[in-house]
Amino acid sequence: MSETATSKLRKLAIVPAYNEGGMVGRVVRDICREAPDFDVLVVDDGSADGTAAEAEAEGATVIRHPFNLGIGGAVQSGYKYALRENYDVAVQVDGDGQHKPGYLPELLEALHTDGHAADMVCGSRFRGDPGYKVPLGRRLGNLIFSVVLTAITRQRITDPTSGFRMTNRRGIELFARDYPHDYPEVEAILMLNAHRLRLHEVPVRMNARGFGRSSIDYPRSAYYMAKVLLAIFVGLFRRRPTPEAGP
Amino acid sequence: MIILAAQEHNLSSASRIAALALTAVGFGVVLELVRRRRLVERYALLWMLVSIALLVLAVWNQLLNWLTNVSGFQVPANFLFAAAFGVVFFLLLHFSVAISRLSEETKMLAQDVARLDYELRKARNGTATANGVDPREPEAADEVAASEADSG
Repeated sequence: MSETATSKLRKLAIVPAYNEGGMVGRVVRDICREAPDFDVLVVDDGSADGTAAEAEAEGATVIRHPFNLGIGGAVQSGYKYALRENYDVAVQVDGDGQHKPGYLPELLEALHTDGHAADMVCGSRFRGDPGYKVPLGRRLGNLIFSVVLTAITRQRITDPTSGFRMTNRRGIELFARDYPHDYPEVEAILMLNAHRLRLHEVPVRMNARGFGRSSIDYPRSAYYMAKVLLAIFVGLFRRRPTPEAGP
Repeated sequence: MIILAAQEHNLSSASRIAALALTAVGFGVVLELVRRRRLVERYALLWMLVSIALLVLAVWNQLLNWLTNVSGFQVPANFLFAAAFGVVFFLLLHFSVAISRLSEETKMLAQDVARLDYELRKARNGTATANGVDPREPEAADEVAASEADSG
């Protein structure tokens, strides 16, 4: 699709943020600078700090959860908003500054490239230089999911835990209706696969997380692995993990 | 029948009295919780059924012995333990299902509250469209909302 055609689309950046005061403002600013044709929605997932005010001060639209729902609930809120407000394209950009908004034009391009047009484009750290030193544990976990997902979807998926994703209207409709709870990225790929939506990966570099508050630390990583593998396994026995997109 | 019963293991009258007393206390606690509206009738009935089953087995020794024999246990106490474990297991599973449903409903409610909060702010400001917010205008309303959220 040409530059002029994509410029007519309504595009939304969904920024899930939980206590990202001091960081979220910079993320919003970067998006506005690097991809000015994207509206910015910050989903404040029950923050106790100035996340919402900071985002609003930078010109973002802010939706505030009354309490913390976790990343899945926050991202889904964003997709619900995108559906209601009739956006054609939505992209997830973490509020902790890990994802570089400079890649948004590239992701958008890949979403509409003729030939391998995709319904979702994932920014992958493992198709090139990740941009920072990914801890060994995360690499290993990622590799396991990667092998499993590649086998199930029959498509090479190198970074199934990446939350840096852009999707079109079909993806927005799907995720607004159903989105996994915690650690949703891997399951979301399976949902796409079950609904015959096409996925495409684009190599990106990421930043090490802005703060030490990684969503996955060591005590939780075992639960993370077990939970996602269970979800994958159970998902294999579901005809349709989610209802087909309705009216 | 009396001879048959005598040959088998019977709960001592002391343990029968203990079972009776425990059941009575359990009943009392459940009823009190319902009275204080801390427990809905639905779950109260569940616990009362469990209590009644325990009571019947404590009082009606022949039934306990018969069930023990039928299910192949040597000692009635073992049958009781196994049965109790099974009942508790199913109750917990039932609660896990209920909690899963509740957390899904809670998530949807929270998302809707967030949406309504956003739409209310937008309606009050008139201009709070995406990227078009003037943060100085809605500040008062926001602060009220924020303090409400904090105290809640």
